[in-house]
Amino acid sequence: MVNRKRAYTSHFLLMAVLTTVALAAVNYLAMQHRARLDLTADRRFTLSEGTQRLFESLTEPVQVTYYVDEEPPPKRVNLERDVRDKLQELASASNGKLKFSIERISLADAKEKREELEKRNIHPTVDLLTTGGDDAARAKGFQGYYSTAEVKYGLAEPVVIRDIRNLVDKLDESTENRVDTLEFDICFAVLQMRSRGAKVPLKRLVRVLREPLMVRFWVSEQMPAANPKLGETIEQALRTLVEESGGNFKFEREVVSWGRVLVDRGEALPFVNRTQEDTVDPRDPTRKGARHYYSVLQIVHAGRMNFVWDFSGETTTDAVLTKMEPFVHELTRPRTKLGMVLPPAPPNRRSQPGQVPQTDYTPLFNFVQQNLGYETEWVDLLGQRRIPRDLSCLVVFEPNRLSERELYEIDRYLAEGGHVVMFCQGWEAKLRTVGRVPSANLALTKTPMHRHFEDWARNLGIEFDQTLLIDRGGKLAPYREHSRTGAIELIPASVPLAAVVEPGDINGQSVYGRGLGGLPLPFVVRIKPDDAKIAAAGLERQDIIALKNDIYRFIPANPAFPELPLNMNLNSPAEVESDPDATPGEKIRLHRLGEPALVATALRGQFTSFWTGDRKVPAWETQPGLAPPEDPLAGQPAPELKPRPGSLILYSSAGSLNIEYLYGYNLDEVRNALIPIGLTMFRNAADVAIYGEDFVRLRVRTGVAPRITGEVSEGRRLWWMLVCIAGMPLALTAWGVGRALVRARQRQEYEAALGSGGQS
Amino acid sequence: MIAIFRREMRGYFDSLMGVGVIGAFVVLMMLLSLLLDPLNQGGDWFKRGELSMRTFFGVFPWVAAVVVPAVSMRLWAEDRRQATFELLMTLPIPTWQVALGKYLAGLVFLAAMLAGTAAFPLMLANFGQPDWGPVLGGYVACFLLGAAFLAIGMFLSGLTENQALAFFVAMLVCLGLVGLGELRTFFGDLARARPTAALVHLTSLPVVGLAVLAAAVSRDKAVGAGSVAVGLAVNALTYLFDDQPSPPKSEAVVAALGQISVLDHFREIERGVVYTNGLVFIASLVVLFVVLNVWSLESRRHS
Repeated sequence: MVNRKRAYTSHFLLMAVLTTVALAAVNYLAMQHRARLDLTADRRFTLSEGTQRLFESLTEPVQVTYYVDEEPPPKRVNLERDVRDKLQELASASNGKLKFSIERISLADAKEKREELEKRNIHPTVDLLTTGGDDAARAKGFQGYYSTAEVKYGLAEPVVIRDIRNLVDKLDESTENRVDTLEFDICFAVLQMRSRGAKVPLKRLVRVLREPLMVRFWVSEQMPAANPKLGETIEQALRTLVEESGGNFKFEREVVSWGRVLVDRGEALPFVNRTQEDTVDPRDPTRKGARHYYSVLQIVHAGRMNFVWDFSGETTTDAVLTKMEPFVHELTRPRTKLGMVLPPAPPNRRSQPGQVPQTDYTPLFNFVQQNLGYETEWVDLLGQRRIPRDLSCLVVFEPNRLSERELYEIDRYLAEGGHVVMFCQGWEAKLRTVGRVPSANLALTKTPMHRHFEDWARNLGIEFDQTLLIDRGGKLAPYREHSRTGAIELIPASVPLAAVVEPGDINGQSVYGRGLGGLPLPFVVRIKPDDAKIAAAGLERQDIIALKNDIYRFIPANPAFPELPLNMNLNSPAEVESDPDATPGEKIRLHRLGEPALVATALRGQFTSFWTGDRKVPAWETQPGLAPPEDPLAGQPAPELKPRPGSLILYSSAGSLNIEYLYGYNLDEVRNALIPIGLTMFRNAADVAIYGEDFVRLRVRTGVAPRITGEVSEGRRLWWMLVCIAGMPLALTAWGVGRALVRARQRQEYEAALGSGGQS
Repeated sequence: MIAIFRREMRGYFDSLMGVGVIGAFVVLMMLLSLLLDPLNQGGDWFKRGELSMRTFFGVFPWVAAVVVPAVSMRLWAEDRRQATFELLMTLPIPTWQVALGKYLAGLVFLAAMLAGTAAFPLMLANFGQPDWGPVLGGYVACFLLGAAFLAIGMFLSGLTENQALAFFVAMLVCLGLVGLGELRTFFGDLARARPTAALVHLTSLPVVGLAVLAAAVSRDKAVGAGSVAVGLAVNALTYLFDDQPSPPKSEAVVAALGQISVLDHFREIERGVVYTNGLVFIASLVVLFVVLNVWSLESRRHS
């Protein structure tokens, strides 16, 4: 009996093990060849091609630490889960190259921990609490919580992605770092860290620098009591660098006595180092107090300067060199150079040759130069006669006004791998009037569109439809300048001449469209791409902005002298034809477009020069009052190029960067929105130049889970709760009762039949 | 097979128990996913504002691990109790057809249970435009997981005539399968520190489990106790040897754990992403336990 039982056990066990092994093999194969189905409508959990490419090319692991509040605001209840979803997706798609951890911060966490986070630039995010999520919502307070990711790659300084929010309401759409941009933010952080990751050691760096490094070493006679040989140690370190550099590094030593020397010479004293120990003033032994001493390095390289101070703790030459290293790296790192081609200045503001022309774009050019952190230079095409090839990006204002030879130079720069941003301008108006009240109409002017520019653009597959577009939501305020006081006085008229770019108008997935929401585009016209031509030219098009709002074509009453009525009413059927298919009547000033208007696009790839074959190199135009320039190339076939892929970004409005049109806005709008958004356009273009194809291929935004639309009343909520929780049990009860009744009836009928049968 | 299927269907829907299970399942699922949301710090579904069934699919494995054994417990144990088991076994049809008929009836009942929650997607449609892909994918995954639990429950039901015991053991096995995913971090750490020990634990678990099941099938206590003792001894012995960290071994263990972790697969499905290997694993559970069930019945038939 036992043997038989054992036989069955063995047989069963054997068969079970065999089946298990077979299924394990199937599972192993399934693991090796697994397929993935993203069932979301917008494929939000599928990484973009750019992200996958980037992860494939990484040589170091990426570590992401997400710091999140244990008790987030009620509105952010999904935040941690949403971030985890994204990180999980990145981790699983990265083949182990990205690892993440989530660290919850609670109120009970020690102060030291919070201070430690502050040091690493991890601060609480602050949410504005409002009475609702719609436009009518009012502010009712603030709430702070942690939601920051720290990204580490190789040995580079970690990048902190601050204030990560999930998209809950309209307010969140204007925030920079969100769950739906997290994939891009992390990839961009990695790109940044990768590009600045490998830092050359200082001793090697001083040997390979193109320009010499100069150091001025200010040292006190008295060094701190804790480190009396500090001055000698620093000097020894500097001597080491001199020996290593092969003449590329020089230093001067200057002894400073109690700061008096610099004060006497009228130089600033921003770098006084203080110790708090009680000590004796050598000039006055009776005086006691804090000791002041200098151990300051002023490092100069290629016209830039940086200071290193606070050497108090360094006791060896190596420690001194380690301390200096980041400062020297910062000073000598490769810079992004933006070149700008400005349109010629008007005759009354003409500047001397070689001087930056005083156009309406010049104030913004100066602002970019001061604020964007890039090196900015005016490209004087007429003076230099070529575009410097070390530019990261060339910005061209109103290219439609350039001479043929200037355009030829830009064309060559583009074909040789340049990155060009062109801001075209189809229309303009003089919004400023001096000393008089303007009429009821605003005079408009079509900006000249040179034939050679049109031909050049058409060759690339781009055409500009010079019909002025009007946006219902846009505005431009004409103003007048009072002749006596010179004060600017706004005229209370708001003309819808600037289309406002809404988030829905932007290609949210394109890196070129980052942060452009709210951008005003004055006097915008339409770009008409010819896809067949673009494809034939071997270029790739990525649209940036297509206006989808109620956009209208402006129909001037007199095409020869177009004027815009300041009292134009966009709601008046007498002036507006809303049917895009209808033929507008004579009195109609506006005709609805009825389709999105493309106003900004990017082309990428290997550009072929327009000036090939029969087209000869055009001559430089002669400047008024100057002798015709010597031009051996003019009329000759174009010299050979060194072809490289480049990019061209086209905007059909330059007005948002034109100071002339900014006066119509209030100062806060200009300071907080217009200028920063305008600068974002440069930043996007410059980043493309810096980080190349890896950056362009990234997807800026992924989709988000759909949310409940509209208000949910308490009654509606309760009703659905009831339906979901109690609906089915009630239905089942009703079904059960009904079935029982039917059965009872059947039983009765059966019994009755039995009874009657019995009687018969 | 069809006759068996019909008989079982009548058994489910003519009894109060079947209707009660559907009602209880629906109420429990809705309370957990709409009001309590225990896996996401609690809270009202409406306050989250997200038009999705993530909370529902998130709690489903745990609820199914308790409710589905209640459905499956009667599949064989009821026949044993009513002494119709012998009749079924002597019918002139193959055992696999009997087992499959019963299993298909269980699947239809499972589908009816899931259909009972249709008010949730209806509510989604009422409050906006939901993303239907993850909802449909989630339901398919729920059905598959329920099918796997049903197969486990049916197999265990075939080993005993005590329905309560069948329910309890099946519930423990199903909860164990779900909970295994929660141990992933612990196993991951162990795999990194002592890869061989982790590998032994991971491989001995199904081997000892199958040995115990085999012993249960043939009611051979000695084999059952012996395999547990050997399993424990082997696992304990691994700690006596020096175990050097080995990244390939650790990665293999972690990957294998990921593959057998129902909860991990469900977390992906919950947000709308389906990996085919997850579906293959769940389908493998169905095949394994239905086949084991047929063999265990065959062994009874001939014993």
